[in-house]
Amino acid sequence: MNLTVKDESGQIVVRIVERRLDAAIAGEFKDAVRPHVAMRGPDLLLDLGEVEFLDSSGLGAVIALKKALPEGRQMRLRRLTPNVARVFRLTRMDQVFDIVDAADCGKGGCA
Amino acid sequence: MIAGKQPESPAGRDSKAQPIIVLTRSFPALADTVREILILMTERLRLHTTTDLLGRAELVLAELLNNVAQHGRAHSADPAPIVHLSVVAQPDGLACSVSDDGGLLPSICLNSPPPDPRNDPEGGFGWFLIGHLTQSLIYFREGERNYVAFTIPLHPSKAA
Repeated sequence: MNLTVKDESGQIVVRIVERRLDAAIAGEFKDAVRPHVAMRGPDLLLDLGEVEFLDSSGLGAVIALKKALPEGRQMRLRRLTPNVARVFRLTRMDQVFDIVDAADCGKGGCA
Repeated sequence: MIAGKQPESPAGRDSKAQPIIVLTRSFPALADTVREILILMTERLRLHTTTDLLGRAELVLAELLNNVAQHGRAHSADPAPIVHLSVVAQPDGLACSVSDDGGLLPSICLNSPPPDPRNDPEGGFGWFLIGHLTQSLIYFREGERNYVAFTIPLHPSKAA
């Protein structure tokens, strides 16, 4: 499970450096990211730009992380690739998550 | 035309589209094996189909195969069910069949409503996605095996 965590102008950006967020890795992903989510701190941005494939286990893990957020802390998603965006759209989870388009990343870019 | 892609040299091939068997494999239903099979399938399919159909096919098969891996045995210590998967590229989409020697598939799976996003569901998406993205899905059990067959259309009638 490869991920990077960095502070980016006041928010914590967790970038998933994996091509697949699937049943084989969902548990490990959740365990790796939860420590960055469960405590109080600045808002989080989960960058899924490297993820080309997401299944319902991966989606469940992302939802579990959102639920692990303490009161008042927000988690947004950014850079959803087409296959990942499809899963959020079909399950209507795009209505529950705040999803930032690549174009909305600001001057700093999304790389 | 096979599943949305023109043959590279039409003159050299029969103009009538023949179904092409993309993949046929038997394997244990384990998360890591499922992942390997899906990667293999997408490599094979890339030659025969569109990116859009490829994405939908990978999602449907991931949900189905992982469901067998997670729920196919009553006791997790038992050996994983053995799955047989076959994917055939046709002009109008992909015909898939999956059989496994795991436990009986609950009938409720086959008519799964979409989970309500307001309840923050963490699961229950798998069979909804399968039902939404496939056509002509049939399920039956014969002997000790489950059989599921369906088509993933090149041009979906529902939003996908």
